[in-house]
Amino acid sequence: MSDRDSTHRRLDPQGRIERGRELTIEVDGEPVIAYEGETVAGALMGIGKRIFRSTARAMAPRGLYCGMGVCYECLMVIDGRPNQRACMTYVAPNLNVQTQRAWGHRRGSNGAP
Amino acid sequence: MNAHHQRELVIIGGGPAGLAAAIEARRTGVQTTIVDERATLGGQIYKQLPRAFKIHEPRHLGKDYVAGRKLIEEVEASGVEIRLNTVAWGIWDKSIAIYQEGTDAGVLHATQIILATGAYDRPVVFPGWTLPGVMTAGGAQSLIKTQRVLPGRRILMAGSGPLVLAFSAQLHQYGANVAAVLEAAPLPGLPVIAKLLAAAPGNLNLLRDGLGYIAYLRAKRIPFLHSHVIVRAEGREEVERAVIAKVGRDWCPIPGTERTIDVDTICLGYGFFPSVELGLLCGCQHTYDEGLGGHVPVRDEAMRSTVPGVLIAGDGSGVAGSAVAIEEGRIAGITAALELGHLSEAEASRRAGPARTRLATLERFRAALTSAYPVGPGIYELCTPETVVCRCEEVTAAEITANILPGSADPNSVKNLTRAGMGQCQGRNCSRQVASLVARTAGKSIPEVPMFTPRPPAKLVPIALVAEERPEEEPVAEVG
Repeated sequence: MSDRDSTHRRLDPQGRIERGRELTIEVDGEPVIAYEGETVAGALMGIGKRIFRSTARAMAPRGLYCGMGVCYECLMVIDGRPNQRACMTYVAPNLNVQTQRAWGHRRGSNGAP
Repeated sequence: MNAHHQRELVIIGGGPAGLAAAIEARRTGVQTTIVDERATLGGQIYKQLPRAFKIHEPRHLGKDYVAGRKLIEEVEASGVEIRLNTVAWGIWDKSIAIYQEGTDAGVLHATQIILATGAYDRPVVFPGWTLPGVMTAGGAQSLIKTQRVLPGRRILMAGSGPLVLAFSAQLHQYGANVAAVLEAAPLPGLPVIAKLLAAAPGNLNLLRDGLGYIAYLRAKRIPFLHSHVIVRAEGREEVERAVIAKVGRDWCPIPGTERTIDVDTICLGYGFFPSVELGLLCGCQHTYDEGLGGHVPVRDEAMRSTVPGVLIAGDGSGVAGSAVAIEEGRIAGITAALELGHLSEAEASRRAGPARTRLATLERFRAALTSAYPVGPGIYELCTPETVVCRCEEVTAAEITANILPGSADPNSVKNLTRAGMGQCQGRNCSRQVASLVARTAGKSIPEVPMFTPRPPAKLVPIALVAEERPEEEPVAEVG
């Protein structure tokens, strides 16, 4: 029960489920441990990172909302491709993940996806 | 990728309805293809754990997981063509435009189509609903069940209906700290209880599940508040607090009853909307039923839509849960086999008989539950003028109201003027709230105003992939 308040959000219920093998992804330039089988969203929520992008108009923070590929709120720049759904993309060794600004294009360009 | 030849049956969606349909159709020899956007079959309720995770005790994952696993294995062994990671983003006549994640785009030509697209969590627009930390109950459940990750440290569950109880108990069982559970509906009175009991024969397991969850929450001392809703999420960059209020029968907050709860996560479980986008693109006639989730396709008993060759089954035709979805899926699979000449009329009706009987029993209970938890009109009254209604295009309620043309009762003109509903989610999250604002201004009800006109793509598709379609594949049929 003490786990309920810990900052580590990954569940490991009595070893009944084992995660895939450990790997490293890069999140905004920092190495982050993740496990094969995790989505990018799962890996980020697992370390308590809940802001995935900021919007084009209000620069408002957004994160995981529907978790099933419907809302397109969890868009991130993944391996250089903008507007990828973090909830539908699985981690892989050395995957490059960046918090997305606006539509994820170069500064000055603001084209919608 | 063999995308150009004619297929007898294409099923869109690999959840309970799609799987059951595939099994029944395949059993009669129908050449069947099943298309699903996800990496694994099972849809939302039977969502499977990633293949890379090792499961030591499958029983621990619950009966849905086990039931789903069985259905999936049956489909995998049946000779059905399974296309995963594949988005169906448009349908022209019987040609289905698909896009396979990251690799390819193409067209599947079908003689019969079964839409088994399921449902998604009902969006509820209130101040702060865009803050990270506000999640749908389905999203939170999926994160916990299939990613084994908690969405936050202290969770408020707000919503209505039996799933709120089920989700809350599950979240807690998985180790989450559930601060409180809010049910918008009042405590069920005697007439409602009587109705539920009358529908109970044959559904005792469903009734027992519900009572079990209530007992669980009580045992764990998790506050369960009837007639309460979330009215505001607060926090700078993420959720830091939730403001809740007591509501009347209409779900409108009662002034002076607001109070603040310290939570970092808010899960919204207000039921589901059927995913009707593809049926609308096919031209299927729809009607409105708030209890079934809103706009639902018109169907006959055999799951035929109003468009020949297009069948619709499961939550995508009205939200009724997985038990109903399976029976509808079976019937749809049998009907497709009949239409394709694999079954005689008599044989089809014999095969569909047991499913129809079970469906009738389940339907009684669903109807009783819907009357126990009717959606209150107050659900559309929670946003303030500053609240972002269209999450994708960041359009506020005030901007929407300001762009309702005098005398107009068409959300499409608001869409054209403000871009509300034109973003990545294709209006799935804002359409109902926009319709509600337009209807209110025009003195009408939601079913009386038009829906946003459906447009392909139903899901985001990289334009380069479609443009670069390989030459041996037929191009997407021209629109109109």
